[in-house]
Amino acid sequence: MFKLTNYLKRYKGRVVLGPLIKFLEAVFDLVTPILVALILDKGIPSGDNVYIITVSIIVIVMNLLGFASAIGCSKCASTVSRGIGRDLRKDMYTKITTLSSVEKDKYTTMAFTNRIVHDVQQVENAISMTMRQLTRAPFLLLGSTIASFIIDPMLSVVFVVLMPIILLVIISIMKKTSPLYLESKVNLDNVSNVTRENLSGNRVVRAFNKQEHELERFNKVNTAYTKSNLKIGHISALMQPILLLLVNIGTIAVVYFGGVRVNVGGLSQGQIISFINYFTLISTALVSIARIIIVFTRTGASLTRIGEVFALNPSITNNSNAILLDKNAPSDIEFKNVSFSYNKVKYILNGFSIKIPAGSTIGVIGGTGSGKSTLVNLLPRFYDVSSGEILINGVNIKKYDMVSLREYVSIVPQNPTLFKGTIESNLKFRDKNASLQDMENALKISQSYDFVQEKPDGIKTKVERGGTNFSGGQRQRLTIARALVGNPKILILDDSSSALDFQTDYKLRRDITKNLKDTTKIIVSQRTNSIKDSDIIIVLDNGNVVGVGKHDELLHSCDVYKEIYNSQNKVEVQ
Amino acid sequence: MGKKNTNPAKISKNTPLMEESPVVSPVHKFEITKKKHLSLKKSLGYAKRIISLGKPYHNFLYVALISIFIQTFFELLAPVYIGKAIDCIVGAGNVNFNGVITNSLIVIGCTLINVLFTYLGNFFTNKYCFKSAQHIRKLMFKKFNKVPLKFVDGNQHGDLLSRMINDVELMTDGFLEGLSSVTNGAVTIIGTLIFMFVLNVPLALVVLVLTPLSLLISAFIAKKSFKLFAAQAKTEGEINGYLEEMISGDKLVTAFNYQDDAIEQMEEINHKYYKVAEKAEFYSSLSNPATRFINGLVYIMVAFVGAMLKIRYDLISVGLISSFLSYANSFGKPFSELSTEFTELQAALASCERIFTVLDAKDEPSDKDLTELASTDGNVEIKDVNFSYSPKQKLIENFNLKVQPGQTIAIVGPTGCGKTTLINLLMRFYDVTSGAILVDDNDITKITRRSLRNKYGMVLQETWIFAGTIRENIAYGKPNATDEEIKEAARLAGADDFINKLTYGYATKITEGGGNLSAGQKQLLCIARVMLIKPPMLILDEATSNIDTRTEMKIQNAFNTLMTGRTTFIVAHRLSTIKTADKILVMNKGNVIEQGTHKELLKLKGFYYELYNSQFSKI
Repeated sequence: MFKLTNYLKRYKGRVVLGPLIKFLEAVFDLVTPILVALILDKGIPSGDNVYIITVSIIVIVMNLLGFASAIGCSKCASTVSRGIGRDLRKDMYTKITTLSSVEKDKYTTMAFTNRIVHDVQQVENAISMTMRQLTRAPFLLLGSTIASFIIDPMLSVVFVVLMPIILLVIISIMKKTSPLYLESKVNLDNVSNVTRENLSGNRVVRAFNKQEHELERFNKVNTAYTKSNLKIGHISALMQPILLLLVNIGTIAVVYFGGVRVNVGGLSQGQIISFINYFTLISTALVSIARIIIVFTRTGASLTRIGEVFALNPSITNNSNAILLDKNAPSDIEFKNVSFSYNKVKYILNGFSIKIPAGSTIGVIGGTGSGKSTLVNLLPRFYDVSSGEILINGVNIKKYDMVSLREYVSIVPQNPTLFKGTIESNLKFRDKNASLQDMENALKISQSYDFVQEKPDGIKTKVERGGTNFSGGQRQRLTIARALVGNPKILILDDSSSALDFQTDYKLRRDITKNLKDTTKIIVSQRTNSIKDSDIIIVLDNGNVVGVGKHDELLHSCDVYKEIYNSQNKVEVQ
Repeated sequence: MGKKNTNPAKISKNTPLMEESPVVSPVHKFEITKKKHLSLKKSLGYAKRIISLGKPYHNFLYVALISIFIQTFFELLAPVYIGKAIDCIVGAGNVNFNGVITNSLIVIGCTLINVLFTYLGNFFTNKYCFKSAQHIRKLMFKKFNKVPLKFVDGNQHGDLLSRMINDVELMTDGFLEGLSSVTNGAVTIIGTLIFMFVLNVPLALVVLVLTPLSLLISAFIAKKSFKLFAAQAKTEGEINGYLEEMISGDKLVTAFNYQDDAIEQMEEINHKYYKVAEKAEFYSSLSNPATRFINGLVYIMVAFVGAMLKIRYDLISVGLISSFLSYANSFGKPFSELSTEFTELQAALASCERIFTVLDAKDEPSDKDLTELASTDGNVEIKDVNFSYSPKQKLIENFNLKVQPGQTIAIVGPTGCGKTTLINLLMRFYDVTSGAILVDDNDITKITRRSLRNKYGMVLQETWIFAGTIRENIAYGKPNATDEEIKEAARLAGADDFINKLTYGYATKITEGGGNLSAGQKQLLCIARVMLIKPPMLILDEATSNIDTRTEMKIQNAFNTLMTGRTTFIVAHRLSTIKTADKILVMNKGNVIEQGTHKELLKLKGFYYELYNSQFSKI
């Protein structure tokens, strides 16, 4: 379970020290009105210059010390809050890296990053604000009340009556606006969604002459957003005047009843001024307290979201006595009665069995959504089979140490993702210690060597985030090169040559076959051309295996395969 | 209160708003320049212009400003009478109750007027700000649909969006709301000074001498924290970007056992962020204590000098000192507010500039006075056309083509050869540099865009599905279509099958960007959209590239039906789909290098022959 206190404990020194020294400032703030009252009540009537000067100097020194203590507290608060934020971000990200696909699929990338960045920020702000205000505001409140009771208990009744009213007003206004903020956020999202759609479909909008219609859609969301902002604005606009009203009523009450008290000799003129001062202190303290309360409720939601991340547990983990998979062991693969389902309702594989001898080439073909990627995702254990087992060299892959299994199996996923850095840093992703020769070799086999050489910086060429400075085909070839570094024993290409022209695709397959003799190669594709020379072809349709065999056999025995083949080679068939 | 906090619903500047949408044509970037320094003259110009944009709402502004004046005046008046009331309370048995009551009533009166006008001021400021912001967003949205397409293609959509959302917000915060808080601050400062000088000159001088100190400190803190916050936002963007990259690519991180390295790199940015965020937080949190510190100094100095004046010269009453003490308390506040306002104002000015570059973008030449193209047989002629996206790089040169009604023209060639450019010219998304395109002998620059585009049905490789139901998406070009018509169009497009399998059928809501549909399904919907309107001419730009070949075969028939009797332009890289075209244009580097039928071109043994064989050679 995630507990914020565990994090606070790491900084317990400063967590205690900060509010403590801030206390000093509050005490001085409280004493100042008393001292000023002394000047007015004692200093002036007696005409004692030295007395007035002494008191003034004391106040100035106190003021300085108070400022210093506030600085100290701020430093404590900022280092503690941001420190805890840093720890949280690190722990959350570390947690996420341990998760398996099953858990990660439940959240979008944005959901994770928002939790790590924005929710943690919310917590940081709450911690720092609390540390800075927690002692000051309640102390001022309490202290002012006590001080006024000491000066004159009768007059203090004014405070006792007004305080809860003020707090109630502030909180109810804040409470009223906070759900409205959510509404406004939703409306803002609508504005940006409509605009984003308009920009991305600008051609279509113009082609269909729908500019007016789009403007109407926009006006609707734009007006809604403005309305929700106005609603918030109008409610918060009440806060300032109502507070003003209450504070001034209080002040007048103090003056009037103070007058009554002075008249009977229970109070002095200067003390009334002190009273007014305390009253100002109390009302500002109340505003701070109300703010803290609101921040707390908002932070509660963020803490829940952060807690969700920590509550996720990886479903795919190492066996307690996992065995290492030898990097150089041959790579016989066997699927034994394998069934798989994401949701236990619809099965993608149903009792599928196949034996794949080491060094062979396997083709997997089928339309979009037929389950091709699912099949290959089982090998590096992105997902675990629902029933049955997958064996490498006769041992269930669940028994292998996961790190060694993933060193052994290399996969090129469907989306050609490159990471920000250089070509070299991307190539070293799998094997940090790869030699230049290893990398060049991988580039050659993946047919990337030439275009990389043509770049002025060669292998040191910068890669933008997402690899946007390379064409789709180049990205695909580089991701293949990356998977080849470190001599994997099983290589999976998940539809990763779709953007290559047929010539390059052919050369790629030829060089892979030539150079990776011991490696078992699994090629997923939509093109029959890419897989027809495979030793075994697996045909998938709508989650079912509908054919297993060689190209020529399947052309006769498998309708789906035949249809796919014909649709791509109609020219020759006709 | 209530001013600064009205708008937390901002999109953080660094949250990538959207995937950068791929630029459809190789357009040179339409750079929106950003200058660092703004001169005072320019700033004033911006201010004037932004204020004039909100013209329909100026009455709100006037009421707001007048309210603020009245409010501030009465706010300052109250302490005077509180002081007078206190002066009526001298000591035991020496209290002038009549005086206390009279003065108290005056204070209550002042307070009530103050309260009323404070609310009015806030209310109308809000109205003015939010309505103006709404108006400016609307102007920007309109602009996006009026500028040449080049502008939309050449700018990152995320950036345009952020100008409309974040910059308008920053501008509202800094400029429009600033207008009222600056007024309030200025009136308070000047008013307080006047009140103080009227009440007592020496004490007023004490306050006046000490205030620059307050100004100095708050300006220092505001400047420092503004810089640090900017640095923090930048690093936050880095963290965001890194996490997004790594979490979305997490399969690779897992597959390649890269977790530890990823965590290490994340730690590096994380620590950098910690450092700058800690500093930013520290400095900004000093602003309140610093103001309190200066106020405290002013306060005690007022008490001290007041006491001295009373003792030495008896120039002053204790009640007057009390009034001064309360002025001293309120005098420091506007200074710290103004200095914050000033930094926000700087940000707002930068935002104004970014807003204006959008609003100042030149519109497409107007359609006014152009004639309508009533109907067409589908006669298209391209005459001596030259075109380039940027003067430096020539693209289409001296292009000629005659298309008879009902003919199918296929355009093939490697990526970037100008295929899509041709489509852009036909639809008048871009205008030719020289030469002309004629439809039924009408120069297309002489007829309205609306009537020209009406005649084309277009399916692009980049599918565009908006948030709405499937029905709404299909009926985009014909909102009043009947259910039967829509079903028929979907059936022809081969989309009917999958739509019926959805739980809500045609009423199924599509999430933004069509997230719950596959690429192929989205494309089928776009095809159905065109099937519904049955236009006289067709443009199919890689229309089937996202559909697997089996499904493609199935809808090919529908296409064939649709194409019969209609002039059709097809762009494709799958040669099998265009073999039956009446004419194939082979383009390379902007030029048509070969044209003819499939058979003729094969015989030629040229570029087309090679392209064809690289696809189908038996390897």
